[in-house]
Amino acid sequence: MTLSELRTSILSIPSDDELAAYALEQNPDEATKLNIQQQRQGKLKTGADIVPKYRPLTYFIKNQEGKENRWVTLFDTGSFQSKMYLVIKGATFTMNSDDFKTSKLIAKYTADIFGLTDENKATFMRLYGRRSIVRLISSITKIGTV
Amino acid sequence: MTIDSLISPEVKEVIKQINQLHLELTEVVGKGPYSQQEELDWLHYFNEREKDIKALLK
Repeated sequence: MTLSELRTSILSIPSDDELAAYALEQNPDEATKLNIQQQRQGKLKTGADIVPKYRPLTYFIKNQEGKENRWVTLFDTGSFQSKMYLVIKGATFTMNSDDFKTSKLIAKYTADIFGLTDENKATFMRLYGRRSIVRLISSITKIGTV
Repeated sequence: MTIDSLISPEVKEVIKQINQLHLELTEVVGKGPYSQQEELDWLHYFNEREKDIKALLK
């Protein structure tokens, strides 16, 4: 291989934003599942608890149904979470849901019910995103392919 | 939530190094042509750089 050939095989890499968007686009369901898990654990994207907590009646009903009632999970029938999806807009990303209850839930618990905590962002990249990015880097340079 | 916050410092470092390698290669190629020995020396140098970056990607 000559120097010129080597140069054409090693291209510059897209920006961090483009790489991150690529990682998300390649793994939208995985990112959304992490958001659902986070909600089931009663956490907002900030890491804070989803509040207000369940009222006594809801607490009682959930207890009767054998559902989690110690914190807000946003889970009852599963419709809201099954209709969740990833949204990438420019240099930002979040999730949303097509379920009719979405705007009510946002009004009650804030829009921070959507999105990932720092811990889950790291989990997403460790389990899914990094692999996609390394593949992309390998496909546009020969680095990482050997 | 900004998407670049997904990119870890480790991956950012790899990207930085690949882009730096690309720039250096472009600069070195632009300054050619080289004698056969010089070309081999440069190739050796860049191959070593590549190995270091590959190690970071593992």
